[in-house]
Amino acid sequence: MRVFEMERIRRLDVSRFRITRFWLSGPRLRKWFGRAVLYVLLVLVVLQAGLPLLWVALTSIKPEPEVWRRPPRILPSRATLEGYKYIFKSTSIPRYALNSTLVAVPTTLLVTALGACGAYALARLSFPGSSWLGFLGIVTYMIPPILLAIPVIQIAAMLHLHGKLYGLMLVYTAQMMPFALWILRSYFAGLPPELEDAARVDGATRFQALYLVMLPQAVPGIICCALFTFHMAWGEYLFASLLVSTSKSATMSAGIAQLVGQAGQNTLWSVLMGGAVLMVLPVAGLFVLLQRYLVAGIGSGALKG
Amino acid sequence: MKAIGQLRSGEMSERTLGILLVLPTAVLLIVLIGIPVIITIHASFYNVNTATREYRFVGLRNYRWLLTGDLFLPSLWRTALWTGSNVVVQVLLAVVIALVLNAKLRGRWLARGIALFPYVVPAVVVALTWRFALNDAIGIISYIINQVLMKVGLVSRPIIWLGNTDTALWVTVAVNIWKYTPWMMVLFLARLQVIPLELYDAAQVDGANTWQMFWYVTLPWLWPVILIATLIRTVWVSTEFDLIYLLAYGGPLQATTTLPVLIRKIAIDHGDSGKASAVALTLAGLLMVVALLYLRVYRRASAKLE
Repeated sequence: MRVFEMERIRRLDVSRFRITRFWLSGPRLRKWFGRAVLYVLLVLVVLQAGLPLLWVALTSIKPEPEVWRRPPRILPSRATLEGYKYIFKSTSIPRYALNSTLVAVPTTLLVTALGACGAYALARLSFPGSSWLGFLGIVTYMIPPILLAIPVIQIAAMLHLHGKLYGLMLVYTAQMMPFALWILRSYFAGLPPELEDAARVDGATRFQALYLVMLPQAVPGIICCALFTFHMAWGEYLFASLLVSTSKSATMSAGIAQLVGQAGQNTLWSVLMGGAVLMVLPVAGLFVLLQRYLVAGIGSGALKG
Repeated sequence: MKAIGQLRSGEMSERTLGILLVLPTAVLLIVLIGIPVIITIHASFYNVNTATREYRFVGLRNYRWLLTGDLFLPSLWRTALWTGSNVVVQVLLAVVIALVLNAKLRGRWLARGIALFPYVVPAVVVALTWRFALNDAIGIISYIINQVLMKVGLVSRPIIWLGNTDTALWVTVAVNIWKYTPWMMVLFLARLQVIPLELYDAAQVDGANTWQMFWYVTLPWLWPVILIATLIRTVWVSTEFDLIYLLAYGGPLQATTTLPVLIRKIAIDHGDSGKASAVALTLAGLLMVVALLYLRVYRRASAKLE
């Protein structure tokens, strides 16, 4: 479908270009020429972003000998699911996927729940330490993970969190918390106080007002938080490699990275590429469904690359 | 609001509720971010065995080692190269791509989605993809580029892109640009979409051509976002670990050992968390200096724009 669309764009623009080139002159010719250049650039943008990953997907359904053929062929001579069968029968990748799910899903729930509570409190309630915590949130937001990696593994060792998925989950939650506070706080602060007051006059408790009236208003922000948190927890490598590196506890990131690191003459590349596809699928699916939240999130301060 | 809360008997006070709601967050932030910062500062004055967690006070010797050893300064230089080239090229490419995707072209919605895709793909998969594409035995990109270079006669044998000390760093830069340019592009595109069209009308009345319109209307409009994005990107690119490490593990030799990779190498491979902490703190300090200088420039630039 996408390829077809791109082909259509290209044909359309080429035909226009030809006609105008011969039949028009002066400013109109220049206008059409400009558009032709824009279409060429558009196609280039799409190709550079899409082709490498398309090639990965195509490699995952190639018979292994074809991967090694020189010169390389783009299309497989026949599509096969042998690579995927091998993944499920003889590798730990399904286990890694399960582990990643067991980390990413609870992290997402925890960050959105705690983030919503914390952000609401910071935006609406006055209590001792609130300004201090708000400051802490902003400062911690700008601390890059690598600078915390060494002490965090020390703390993890002290608390015996090594090889424990919930340890990784806590680290990820702490890492994404400042982002959640940042995004959700502005959401809550932007809602008119009358909304909540009205609910309270009608007899709702403070807590009911929070989850019956305020939370529904902040749903876009919550989806945005959940999306970025899941994405981070699913793909993060540094802490995963430090905390959960055994084959039993490794997440997709740590596990697949180990397979890549050991790659050599005997590597089954079609299998590795199948693993890559399996790892991309959940985040790609979410991204297709929730693209506008991704864009909104980047715009409103998803500073972390 | 407070008054109503107090009037209702049986309901907890604003104070208690506020503290209850933020308590888990505060504990997490303090234990997993606040305390680590303190541990890092503390450890940078000690010789710390990563495995046994034994501390031996060494004073400023870790910091002296930064300047006298042969690991830190070359890595600092590589970090500067890696960061500078990444940020400059990302800004330039992102502006061009944002302009293209903002033009009224057929299929631009689809193109916008696809253009964002590299940003969404996890670093491990990006690294795997490009290690495969650039593999000397089976990679398609390395095959094509090497064939072209050999036909033209620039090289006599195929270049092993990630295994060559002259090319490895630049390959990682290129891959990082590929993955993260969409992030900037989104920011620029959002800014382009709210540009007041009267500005263009006015420029047209004045007889401006396309290039002048870009230079005098579009670029000044984008400028504040470009400046902010540059600062943020500088912080995150210079501390990027996952992608560069997974692409080349700091090698060949030290060719792709930037400071974040060095931190891990010293802490894990050399087992010395003290020196690694000193590197981390120095990097943090340098970033703070860069950010402060930058914000001064930013304020001056935005004052000029007003």
